[in-house]
Formats: sequence, structure tokens, C-alpha cells
Amino acid sequence: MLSSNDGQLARAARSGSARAADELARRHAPTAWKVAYRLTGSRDLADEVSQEAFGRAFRGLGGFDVRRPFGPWLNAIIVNCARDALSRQRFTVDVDINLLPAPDAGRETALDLSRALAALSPERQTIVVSHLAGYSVKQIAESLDVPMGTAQSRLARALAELRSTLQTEDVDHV
Amino acid sequence: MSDLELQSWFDDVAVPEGTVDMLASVAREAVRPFVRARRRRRAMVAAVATALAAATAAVAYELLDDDGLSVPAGPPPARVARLESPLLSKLPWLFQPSGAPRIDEVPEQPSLAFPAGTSYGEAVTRLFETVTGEGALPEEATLERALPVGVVAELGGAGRGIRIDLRAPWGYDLPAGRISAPGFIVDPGVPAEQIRKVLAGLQSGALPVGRLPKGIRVEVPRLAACQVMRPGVARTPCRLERGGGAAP
Repeated sequence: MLSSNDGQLARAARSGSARAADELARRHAPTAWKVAYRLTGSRDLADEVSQEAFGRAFRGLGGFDVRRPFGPWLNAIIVNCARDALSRQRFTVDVDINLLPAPDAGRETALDLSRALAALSPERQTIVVSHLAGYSVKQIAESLDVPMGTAQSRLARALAELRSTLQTEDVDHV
Repeated sequence: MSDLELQSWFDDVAVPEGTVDMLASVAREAVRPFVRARRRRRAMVAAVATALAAATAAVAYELLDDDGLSVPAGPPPARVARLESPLLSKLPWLFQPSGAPRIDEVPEQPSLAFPAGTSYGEAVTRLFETVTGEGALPEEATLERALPVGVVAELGGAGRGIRIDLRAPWGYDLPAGRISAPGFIVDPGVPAEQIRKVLAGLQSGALPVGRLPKGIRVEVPRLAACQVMRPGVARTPCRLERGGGAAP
């Protein structure tokens, strides 16, 4: 992740450069959509959430600190949009089976993981998806404005909670 | 579940064709208003910076004096640039070319209502950020009728958010009644050079947005009880000097 270049692009975009906005968006779009998809479990919702998040993020670039990594900041917005979208859907997640891994066991795992991820707090969701999207602990720490040790421990707790929720679901399914 | 399994769960999804184009289009469209705002902001930031620099310089002088350092010369705000916004250009806390006016001598201004749950500190910080960074009022806030003269903030209640007085959101001193300009708090670790850059940025209008650098933040003033209106609580008006004149 080229955070410094992201910062330059963000600075240019908020001055009205459509080209900079385009480049910054293209750089982050694939991962952002994956994050939205994994948070919602639905292709349609992922489209809706990622569009809403990109609109909010680029309209709100004035509030982005260009010294910090763009991706985790964007992820936090995606998390909020996903929660809004899911609450509008009354938590009935429309899962697109075709996009899930082929084996049956894998489908179950994917569903469980999406549910477990949705059960985390917004901050923990942001940390986990940023981690899975390839951001380092240092970048996550910068985006949260906390020391690296704090980010590390929050990530560990978030992953532990995710696994714990998965185990609980396993028990529920027995 | 191992880290590897978790990672492959995340990665193992194909992004639909056209998604990247779609999101890039959303982004391009979203930044279009910035083109119009940029022209407005350039004029606004320069003028606002001139007005704020005097207050900032006072704070920085105190801080820098300890180190024996000097600050750039203060601006000569003899004439404040003409602004596009009819509202912002009249705010007495923002433009004080002739010194701080008295709260009971300035024209009435609307109040600014924030969403429920917003604290006074959050409200004034947000106001500073958007006015200096965008030349606009916070988009989440709405203009409402003026508060009674002398009331700086009306605390929210029953689902209502805080309202702050656009005449004097940073309050006014007592008993003189002089409207306060925004102040700043500088953390001890902030290098003097950084403070100089902020001052220079405020003076020249070079600060790109209203967000201050790390370690420098907008000061949230402590308001006198008579400057705050609370739901269901009777307020005693502030008494101002000059023959016992009172802000009602």
C-alpha cells in the first residue's frame, strides 16, 4: 500500500481533481468491494454499500488526514455503511451463494464468518477487515491514532472474538 | 480457524466486472463540488487566517517566549478581504479588525444547532474546522433562530442537540463583554518550528484545511454559568460593566 501517494492523490482530489479521485478510487476499489461483500454477504448489498461508502469518503475528503493511510479510513466508512445497510435490511442477509467458495463446507464457513464478522463492534470490524485487506499493524495504528502496541492488542482481541463467535456458532449448529 | 484460513476466506471472492469503473465514477462525481468550493475557499481561508492569526499569535507568544524564540510578525488586519458569504463575513469572533467588539453591541446572528449528542467542545471545534477549511458552516448543523443576547450555548434536551451562538461561539469575557476569538492549545512536545509553520499557514492562508497539526488543537473555553442556557433551568443574565449594563 502506497500511503504517501494516496495522501497526494487525496489532497489533489479534494481540490477538485477528478483524475486524482479516479486513480485513488481505482487503487482501492477491489479491496473495498471485497470488504463490503464480506461484511454483508451479499453481492447486491456490497455494490450498494461500496457506492455509498465511496460517495461519503470522497465527498468527505476534507476530513481525511492525508498523513494517515487511506485504506483503513475508507474501511471504517465501509463498516458504517454496511451496518446501516444491514439494519435497513432488518438483518436478513441475502447471501449470494454463487460468489462463495465451491465446496459445501466452504459455503458454511463463509456464512458463519460473515455472521461472526457482523457481530463485532464497528471498530473491531474495521480493524479485522483492514488486517485482512493487507494493512500492517503500523498503518492500522496510524489510522486509529493509537500506539502500535495498542493496535496490535486490539487486533488480537478482535480476532479472538471472531474465533470465539465462530466456535459458538459451531456449538449452536450441533 | 487459522490465520491462513481466515485470509483465504477474505481473498477468495471475485470482484464483479465493472465494479472498479463504477466506484471510480462515484469518486469522480463526489469531488466535483470541490472545484467550486476551491475558489471560494481560497478567498475565505486567506481572510479567516488574517483574523485568526492575531489570537493564535498571542497564544504562541506565551509558549515561545519560554524558549526565547520569536514568532512571525502579526498581520496588519486593517482591511479584511471582502467575502462571498454574507453570514460568515459578519461574524464578530471571526473578524475583529478593530479589536473584539462587545457582545451587546453586535448585530443579532442566527444560532447553529448540532445533532443530539454533540458536546460544546465538539461543536466549536467542528465550526473552526469547517469555517477555516471549507469556508462553510458544518454540514451536519442547521441554522436556527438567534439565542438571547448573552447566551453562548443552549444545551440540548429531549432529543435536541446543542445550539451555539454565532455571534460569540467562544464566549466573551466578563465583565467587559468582549467577544473571544478562537484560542489554541499546544501540547508541550510540539516543536517551536511546527508552531511557526501553523502561524505562518494561518497568516498566509496556506493551511490546506481547518484541521490543525497533531499536538495543536482548538481550545474549548470554560463558559460562565450565565452564558449557558439549560433546559428547564432559569438563567441569571451576565452582568456587564459600563454602568451595570447587563446582557439580558
